[in-house]
Amino acid sequence: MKKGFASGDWLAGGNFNIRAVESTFTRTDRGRYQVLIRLSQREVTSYGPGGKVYAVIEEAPPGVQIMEATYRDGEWTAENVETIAE
Amino acid sequence: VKDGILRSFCVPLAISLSVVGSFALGVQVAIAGLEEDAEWIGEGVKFGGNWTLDPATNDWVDRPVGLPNSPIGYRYDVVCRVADNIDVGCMASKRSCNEAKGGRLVQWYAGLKTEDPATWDPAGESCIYSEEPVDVMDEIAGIIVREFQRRPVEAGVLTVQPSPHTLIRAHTNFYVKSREQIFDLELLGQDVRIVATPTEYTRHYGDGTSHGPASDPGAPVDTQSWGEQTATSHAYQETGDYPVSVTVHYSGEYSVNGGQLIPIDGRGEFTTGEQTISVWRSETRNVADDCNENPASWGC
Repeated sequence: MKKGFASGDWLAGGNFNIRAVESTFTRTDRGRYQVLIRLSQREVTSYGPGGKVYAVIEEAPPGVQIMEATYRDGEWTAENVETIAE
Repeated sequence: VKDGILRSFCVPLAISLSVVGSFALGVQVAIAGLEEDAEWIGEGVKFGGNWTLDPATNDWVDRPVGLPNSPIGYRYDVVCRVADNIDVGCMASKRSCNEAKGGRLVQWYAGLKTEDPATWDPAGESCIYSEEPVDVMDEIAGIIVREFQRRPVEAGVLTVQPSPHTLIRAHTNFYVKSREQIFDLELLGQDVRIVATPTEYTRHYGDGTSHGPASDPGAPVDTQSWGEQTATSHAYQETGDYPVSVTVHYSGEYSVNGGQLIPIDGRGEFTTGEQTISVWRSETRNVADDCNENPASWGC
């Protein structure tokens, strides 16, 4: 991962819309809490130096991610995040 | 970010949501404006898992093989229906469904199965041709697995290296080339499309052993590497002729009259034709003469 803006890259658009968040709030045998997140993202435009358009990613139908998190010392940590349905 | 793999992170949940979401939807570019204290470590954000809900624990588990269990539910309503009637004024601005008798426009909705279906999002429209569109959709849902399994799905092409002869105790490489296939059919008066996607493979080695289902279709190896072990190779322990084949497991989705694609709750299994592999033994000996000089020599 890099900080793209440092070399003249940036993104425009891509607003997230969290449509639903569901969790049973029970710990799995790995000590994690699972949450399903249904979200959509608006169109994203990727720019490079000088305003060059690298890519335009259109808005897609809402997808579903699972986040597995642990809670320690008053802080949540996302241990794993995966897309499980698109 | 390279190859769609994002290193794991340890950040407050609110930040995690926004960062992760961009990757879920296929944006593989650097994140502008990521907070300075975001630290990316460990396991990573992944794509393409095989998640299913374990009924025993009610937890989601990522199993290496098996039919994934979609968390998304689908429903549909007849557009412009008020009680048991259609609002003609409302329908005036909608697309018409006049390709056959009894056409009705239905609106699809999708959302988490655990959500209240009333909160699901619109997911496109399609026409249904039936006096009772809801009934016909339920009937299709009830028979779609059987119809999927009846399609003439091409299992794929099995290649064995080396073939048709291989050596005992050497590793013989097996790989399969298969592809997504689309089938259009008419079912209960509706145009139904089935999309079959290969997901797993069971190799039958013909010597009483098999391997799978496994998600790896295997890959070709260079001739210089024949005999070496691969993720999908097999070493025969006896000489002889063996019929080999592969069963390819397909998952499916279907849509009705161009509407929402819905996962089919069941798999199709299709097997390649058998081919025969002859397993030979090789022996090496030193000989002094050629066969003209000594026709009784070993190997002549």
